[in-house]
Amino acid sequence: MTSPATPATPATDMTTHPDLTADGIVAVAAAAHGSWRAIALSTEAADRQAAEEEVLRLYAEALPDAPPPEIIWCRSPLEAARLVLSDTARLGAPARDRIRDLAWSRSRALLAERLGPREFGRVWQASCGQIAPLISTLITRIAAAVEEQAESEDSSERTALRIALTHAVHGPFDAAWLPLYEAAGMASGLGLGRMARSAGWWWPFENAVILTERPLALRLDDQDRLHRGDGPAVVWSDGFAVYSWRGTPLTEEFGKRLAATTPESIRAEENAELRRMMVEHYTPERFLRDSGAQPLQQDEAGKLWRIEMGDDESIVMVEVVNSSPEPDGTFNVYFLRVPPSTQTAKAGVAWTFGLTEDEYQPLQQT
Amino acid sequence: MYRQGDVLIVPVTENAVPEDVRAAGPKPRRPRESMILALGESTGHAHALVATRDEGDFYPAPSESEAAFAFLPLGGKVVHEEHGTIPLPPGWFKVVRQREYEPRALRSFRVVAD
Repeated sequence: MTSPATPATPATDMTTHPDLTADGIVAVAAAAHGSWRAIALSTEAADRQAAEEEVLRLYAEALPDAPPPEIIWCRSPLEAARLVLSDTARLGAPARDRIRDLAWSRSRALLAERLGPREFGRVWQASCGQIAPLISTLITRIAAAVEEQAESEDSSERTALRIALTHAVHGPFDAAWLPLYEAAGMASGLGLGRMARSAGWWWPFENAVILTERPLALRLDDQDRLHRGDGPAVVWSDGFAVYSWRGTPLTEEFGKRLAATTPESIRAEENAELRRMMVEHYTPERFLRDSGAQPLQQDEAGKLWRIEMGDDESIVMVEVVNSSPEPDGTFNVYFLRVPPSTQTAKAGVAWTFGLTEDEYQPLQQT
Repeated sequence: MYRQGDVLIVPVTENAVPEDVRAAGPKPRRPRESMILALGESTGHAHALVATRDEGDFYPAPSESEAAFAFLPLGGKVVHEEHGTIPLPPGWFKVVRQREYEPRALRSFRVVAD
């Protein structure tokens, strides 16, 4: 790597790598991609000692004349937000601006100045752009779930919870920026990086700081959408939970019903969209078997099955036998869902390869 | 045409290869490296082409919903850990992944992986 022309950046204690180039930052951040994803999605118990030591250090730097804050642990963001509403005198005034935001925005400004706006954008995109959309979605979904826990009918409690959430530092979810700050060697990134690695969301106030545990479970599907059919997609130890199916938010009531799906509950569900989720979670083949359905048609390609779904399109599937035996000599049977208009098993299998029944003529299959 | 599990291999004429696939060119490979057609998501097992005397090229699919192509001037075979080996004659082949119907307006099928 060539050494860049040294910019006229003042040497401050905020830059430990003042000579690092944009490409250098990108390279360092790229190497840390996987570990930042693991930090953001961690479900480990908090490292309470590390988090407490680090938060006291951040307070001592930001508020050198104030006594150290009381440290309060909560089991979830919901428990913490409720505490923010109920214990204002004990906590004191919000202090996120001084404990975190000031150093954060100073680092950002310094880096933007050093790199220039165009390079800054490119370097952020290369270092954080991959994980940022996922994190932004997670923050929004968790915050919405906290608000939905408002118990009173009027909107004031909901509003108060929303305001309480604005005082939070998102800890591990600072991974939408920290890979850049750490790779650039910004000192402010280091302390916040240690917070991100040791606990969940945290709330800095003048007299006290609320630290929270990370969730016990956080489930995504293969497209990074919050997804789980047999329980909450995110859940904390106090029972606070976020239910989600392939990224679609579910009510707690339906999330629990989905986990307990039966053929009867599928048929009883009136909402077609919810019924589809139930069928997919239960799996169409199990629904078909448990419904006592009979195959409609059979040919050399397999069996064709159909279940009527009321006002929604029918579920039509072909049941095929694997051509290669399993190690124990038996042949596996599997189901493939095909378009509702399919008339024969062979036409269904042909469709799965983009062909018509007449076109599909394999010479050999294994 | 030949079928190995969730992959269908169809002999085609050279003219049947779409322009964008040809323009993108074959996937570079090292000597003796097999051509991976599809990787099973759960098992990590792969459908792979082995070219006779190592002469052949694989043209990957431009997108998940399109077909890949392969040229085996001397023929070859398609192999997989869990399926029987199928010998292939010389020529061009279209490689189609099996898909499954998905009842959604925005996304009407998904690729199956064994």
